[in-house]
Amino acid sequence: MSEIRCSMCGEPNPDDLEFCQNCQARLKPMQSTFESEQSDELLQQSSPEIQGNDQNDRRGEINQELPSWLSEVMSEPESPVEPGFEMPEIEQQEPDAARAELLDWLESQQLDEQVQESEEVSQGDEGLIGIGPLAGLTGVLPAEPDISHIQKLPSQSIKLQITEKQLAHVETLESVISEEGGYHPFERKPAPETSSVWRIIIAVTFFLVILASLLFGGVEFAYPEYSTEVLTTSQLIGSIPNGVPVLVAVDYEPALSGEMDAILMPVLEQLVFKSSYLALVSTIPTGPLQAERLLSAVHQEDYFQFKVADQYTNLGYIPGGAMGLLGFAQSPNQIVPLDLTGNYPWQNPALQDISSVADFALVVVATEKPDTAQNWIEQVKPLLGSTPLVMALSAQAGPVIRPYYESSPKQVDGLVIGLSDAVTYDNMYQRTSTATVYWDTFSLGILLACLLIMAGAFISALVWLYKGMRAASPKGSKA
Amino acid sequence: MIQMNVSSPGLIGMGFVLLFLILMLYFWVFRKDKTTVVLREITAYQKLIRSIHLAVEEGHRVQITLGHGGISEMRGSSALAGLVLLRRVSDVASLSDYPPITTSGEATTAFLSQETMHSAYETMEAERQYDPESGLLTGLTPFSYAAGTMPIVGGDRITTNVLLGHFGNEVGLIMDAAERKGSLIVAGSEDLPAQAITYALANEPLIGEELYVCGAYIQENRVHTASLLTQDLVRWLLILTIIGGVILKLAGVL
Amino acid sequence: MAVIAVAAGLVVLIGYFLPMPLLGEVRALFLHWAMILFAIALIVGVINLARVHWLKVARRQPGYINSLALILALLFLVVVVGYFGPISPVSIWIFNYIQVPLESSLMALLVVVLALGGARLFGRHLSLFSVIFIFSALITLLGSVSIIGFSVPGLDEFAAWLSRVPATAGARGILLGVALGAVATGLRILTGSDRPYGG
Repeated sequence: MSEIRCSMCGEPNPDDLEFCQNCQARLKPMQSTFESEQSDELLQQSSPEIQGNDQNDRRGEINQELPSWLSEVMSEPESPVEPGFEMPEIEQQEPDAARAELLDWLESQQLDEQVQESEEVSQGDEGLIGIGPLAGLTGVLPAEPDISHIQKLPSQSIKLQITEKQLAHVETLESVISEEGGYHPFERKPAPETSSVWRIIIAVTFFLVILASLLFGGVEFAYPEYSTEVLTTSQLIGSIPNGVPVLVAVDYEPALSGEMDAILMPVLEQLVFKSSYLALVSTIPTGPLQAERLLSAVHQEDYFQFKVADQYTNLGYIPGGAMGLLGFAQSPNQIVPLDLTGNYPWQNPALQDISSVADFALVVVATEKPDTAQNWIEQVKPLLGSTPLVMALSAQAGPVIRPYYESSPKQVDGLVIGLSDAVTYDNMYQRTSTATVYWDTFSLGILLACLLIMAGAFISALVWLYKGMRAASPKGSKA
Repeated sequence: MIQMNVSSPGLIGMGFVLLFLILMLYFWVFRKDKTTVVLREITAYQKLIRSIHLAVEEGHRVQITLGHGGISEMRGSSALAGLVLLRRVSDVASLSDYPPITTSGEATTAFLSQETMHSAYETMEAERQYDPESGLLTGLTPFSYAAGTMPIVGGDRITTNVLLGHFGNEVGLIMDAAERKGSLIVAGSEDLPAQAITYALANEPLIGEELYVCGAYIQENRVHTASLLTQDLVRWLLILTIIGGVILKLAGVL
Repeated sequence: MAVIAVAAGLVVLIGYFLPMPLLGEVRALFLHWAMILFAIALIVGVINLARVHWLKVARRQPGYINSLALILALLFLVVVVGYFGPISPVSIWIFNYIQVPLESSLMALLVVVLALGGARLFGRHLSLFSVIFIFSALITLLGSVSIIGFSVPGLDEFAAWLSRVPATAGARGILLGVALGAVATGLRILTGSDRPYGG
């Protein structure tokens, strides 16, 4: 049985096989299925190891059935393989030796060496394939020319060619990767350096001036003139009977105790002087403690000989803001059933007749916020009926609430606004409360603030003008 | 038969609310395709929008403080306006590595701010990035709230501070702390003393009702635009009513 | 959820304007519930505040010492006030000598901040309105004090007029605009058309 050498590994295989036993490479070219016998014979003829036979007659019979290109291939006589691409004579060698020689031959093909030019296949054997699975065939795509006509490749350096631009990109990429995940100090626009200096100067100035005024006295300031709203308020309070229940709302934050304690104190003192029973309430959480603190201060006044504990009850905090106020105004004993001591205050003889806020003889609200004052006016005043509403306000809330006092009909029946009205109240009753004690220092601080603001505004305006002139000048514009 | 003693102020109030509602619905539903609204420039919002986007791109942080006004009264309406802005900032900043920080001085406002940010991240399908500690309650009284907020406004990477809500005098301390760090300060409050302070200290103050129109300027939402148109129309009606009342009073009719 | 919120809001709103007996009772009930909720929210807020600062201490974040001081002060006050009572001498002493001075000091800092802010206002944005602002502030301040032997004729009257007429008029105008904005915001919430929270 004849053998077929595999063109890939060089191993001999029986000629009836289509695929190599060793490397599974195809031994025979692919063909149509209906003429397999003729195709086998044709393959045998195309093999370079097979001697050419005159089989023209046989071929003529076959050609009638085969495709034209295949019949043409078969009609052409075989020609021996031209020199120029010599196949190794492996059939005379041992299989292993042949294979080794083939592998050596393969190994000798170095990628970095120049490939030798190969001569073209002779004209007479044009199209004849000398190697590969199509060896012996003509008229097909030549493999040899593609192989043999490999041109000489220019010598190439294995070093990577990098331009400067590419190098810059690489460096950028490396820096980005190296910085990834690291901490980057955040750079922000710095605040003006002079602001800290000015803060210290202003703070020290205020501190020294006010401290000196408190310790040593000094400049005296005239007391403010009587205001009609203070007079109205004092007359209103004076007109209520003695010993009646009065609702007092302490609705200011501890931060403004300095001002609001001074404003509310004269009003409270007049109420305590009339032996009014005070019901204290608040819509802010710290308000009840503020109220306790205030009444302790009133109790310490020498000219009040009474037991504060018997003349007031602290109802505590009303949650919910305006909603809570509305509920309290409608039914105070339901919204605040217990006082801060945990007792039921509505059994007290002074409060047992209270079923709504209108049953109080007077309502006094002390607050620094315009909207808190508005809540009392809008939620509670409509339910007060004939009960008057008096407000002790910080100076910042005065302009907002004054229209309620000046309206017709009045929605606020009495006003005490700011430290100046508190001083006026004291003077009316020839008393000296906190407001009067601090009046000179307060006025000095006001003047100092005015001076600082005027000086700073003047300097700022000059700097602004200077910068504008500099920007408008030719040198400045060039810069 | 139900008997009602409706007072005239009650009728007027109800009529006003109904008129407002009808106008708002009209502008929102029926005029949505026809209304081309040209809003006047408010530089505060222009700078704010720009700074928010810059903060996201450059890895900075935005701080929004909502004040200490609760939602139980009118002062809470300014906090609700601040929540609208917070929602918008959260939508944008959900793509950022540095989400916004919110501070407030009232419990209900703090809860709402947390819920607002949470819903924003949920909508952007980035719920895992939501940090509940981004919505802080820094104090329960105005000045304790200011004391707790001051370190935050000057914190790391914060370049924009937005103060939208109910503030009192303590807003001056917060803005001073922000100014020391050189950050942009956009501030607005419905409280009058606070507005005076913001005018003096803020880079971009929002005066009066400019605080309430942030939704129309930053969200381009139809309902906010409709609300803004309604406000403008009703304002003109009020002006005409006041002038008419003054004339009638001077003429002795009223 | 939105339907419940809108319905509750409508009941309260309509009940405010239309004094119907049944509606008034429902409205009062809702208001009482709301007051309870706000009181509970205050307590939850305190717990939330403590929790945030506790986490800061646990994670040793920058400034955790201050958070630790806050937590210790909170615990101390809860124990003391809870045991002695909110208006006991101990509680009043703590309030008088710790909280009031602390908050008053912060308020006093505002003097420096506002004085500096007023002085630098022209440098920040010099315009007609900033000039009017500073001028009004100075007139109001100077009109509230007077030195014996020295007086500017007409200053007090001008300051009083400035406070009662232009300032009040401007304040009323701003408040009207704020009220309109509040109504708009409330109606947007009430109709459910604008809910920045909850999706």
